[in-house]
Amino acid sequence: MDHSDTGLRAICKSLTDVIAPSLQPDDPLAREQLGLIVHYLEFLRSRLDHLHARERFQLADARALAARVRNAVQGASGTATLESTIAAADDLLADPWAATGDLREATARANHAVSEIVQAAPGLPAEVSRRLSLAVIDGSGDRIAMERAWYLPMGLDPSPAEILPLETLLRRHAGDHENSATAE
Amino acid sequence: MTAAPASLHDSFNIRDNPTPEFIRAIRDRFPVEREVDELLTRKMQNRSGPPYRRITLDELEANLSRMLTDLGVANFVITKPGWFTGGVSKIQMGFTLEWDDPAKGRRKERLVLRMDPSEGSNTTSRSREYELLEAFRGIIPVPAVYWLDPDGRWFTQPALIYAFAPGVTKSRATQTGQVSGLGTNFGPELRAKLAPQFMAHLAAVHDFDFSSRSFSTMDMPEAGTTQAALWQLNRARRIWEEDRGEDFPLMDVAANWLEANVPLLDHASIVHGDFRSGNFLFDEETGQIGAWLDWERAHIGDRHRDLAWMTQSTMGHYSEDGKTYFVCGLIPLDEFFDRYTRTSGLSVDPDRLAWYRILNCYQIIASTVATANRVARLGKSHQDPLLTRVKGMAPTVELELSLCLKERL
Repeated sequence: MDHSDTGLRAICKSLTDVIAPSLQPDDPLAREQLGLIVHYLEFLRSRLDHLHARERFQLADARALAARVRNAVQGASGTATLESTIAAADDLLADPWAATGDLREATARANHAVSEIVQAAPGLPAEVSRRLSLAVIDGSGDRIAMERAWYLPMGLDPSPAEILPLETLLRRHAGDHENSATAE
Repeated sequence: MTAAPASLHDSFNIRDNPTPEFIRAIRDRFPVEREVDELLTRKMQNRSGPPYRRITLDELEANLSRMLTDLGVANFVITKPGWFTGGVSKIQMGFTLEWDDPAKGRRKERLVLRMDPSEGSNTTSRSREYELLEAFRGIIPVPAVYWLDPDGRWFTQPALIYAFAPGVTKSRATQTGQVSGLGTNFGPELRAKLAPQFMAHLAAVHDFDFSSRSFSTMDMPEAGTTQAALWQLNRARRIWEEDRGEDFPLMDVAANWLEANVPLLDHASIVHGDFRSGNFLFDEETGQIGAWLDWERAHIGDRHRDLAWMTQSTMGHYSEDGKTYFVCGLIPLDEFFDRYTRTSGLSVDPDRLAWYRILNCYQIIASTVATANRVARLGKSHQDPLLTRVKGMAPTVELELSLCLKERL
């Protein structure tokens, strides 16, 4: 059984109960940073159980964005790379044992393929370029929603009431790759 | 199409130790003002250097003594050094100085030393800040500025010394405004006292006549051209390229749109760059604003940059009933632009405002997603734990960016 949560909980308690009172009273920076450190560790504790699910979400989301972009710019150069990143993403997402590092790398590759196409967009016909821009904007919505939920405990979101539960958002792309494979 | 490296994820870390070619390629691609170019180039050249090492108050005091001696400050005595907290990007020490002032005789004053860390969340110029504090003395409340170490000769990093300004950035009663005063809720009574001053000071900054002044740290953009907007766009894009650790297609869409829609400058103003709650100090009893701080992002350019900045969603808050949005916690949004035009005599152009709103979102994302992560990753600042926290602001700004872009496409 993993004890990371217990470890972080013990560290936070020690920082608060033992370390904080021993700080020099004329060192407000140290006190401020200790508060930030404890807050970040508590945040990390609340996210420990979701770290791997987040990597899977990010790959599925990057794959969905790549598919939207492929549809928006059919025939434009660079779509072959998009196709290969989508296929690679599908393979990884179909593998329940895919390693976190592999998921992260595939996400980076999918986003890179999309970015390269967007960066070349000023050379595309205006209507294609507009379609592409809208595809990226619409395709970024789930990522933004998930990140708002992820960072909600930081207390910096001006409209926390409109944020859906993190667990719901992390499951948003569940099964996308199977549906897509069936459709294709 | 470039060949993908073995690990794309890791390839972004060339920015941890950038080659001269990498630095030059980004400089060539994104021309900016001369001072900004020098600062960003120096940032990249120093990036592979050691992480920030905590400097002690004794060390700062020793550096200060050397500086004052070299500058010929007579019979000085430094007492009561202490850290200031609350800022994100600069190291700040308060101290009391007693010295022989050739103009005023023996005097004793509480002062602030403001110094760069090895690398901060904003790479900005202490020299520019010094020039602007001098220029606005007597125009709006600013602290008197005394000495400057422009290139870290005495303090290892650039530093500035100015008068300590008493006051608070938010009422002691409020729990809002968690990061540098963003979203502060002042409450109805303080709001009524602060809002007219806020508007008057903003107008004074934008109306400031600098025709008879020459600034050594700010370039003058040409009115009737896109130069002013392009310098700011290139600055934000350059920072994103220098610091990022990932591809983010939404940022590419924004860059394309900004590039294709660069506005002309109708009137050159001093732009404060961070004019908002959290950056002025006021007396809690009287509600009088005593000092405007943080001029580090100032430049000569388009007033819409400031207007878009202070009306950005994270800078203010909604009333309890959710119906009224208060700009910087002070002025209802639906009154804000009319009041600005009445006070300043300057017009507000919705298209320019929209362009700068998108640019500001781009800049905040570059800062919170790219720079904060790069600096904290390399341990370069005195506030790394705070820098890791600002990522929590990014998704809200990303949402605003996507909504603004969609409206304009």
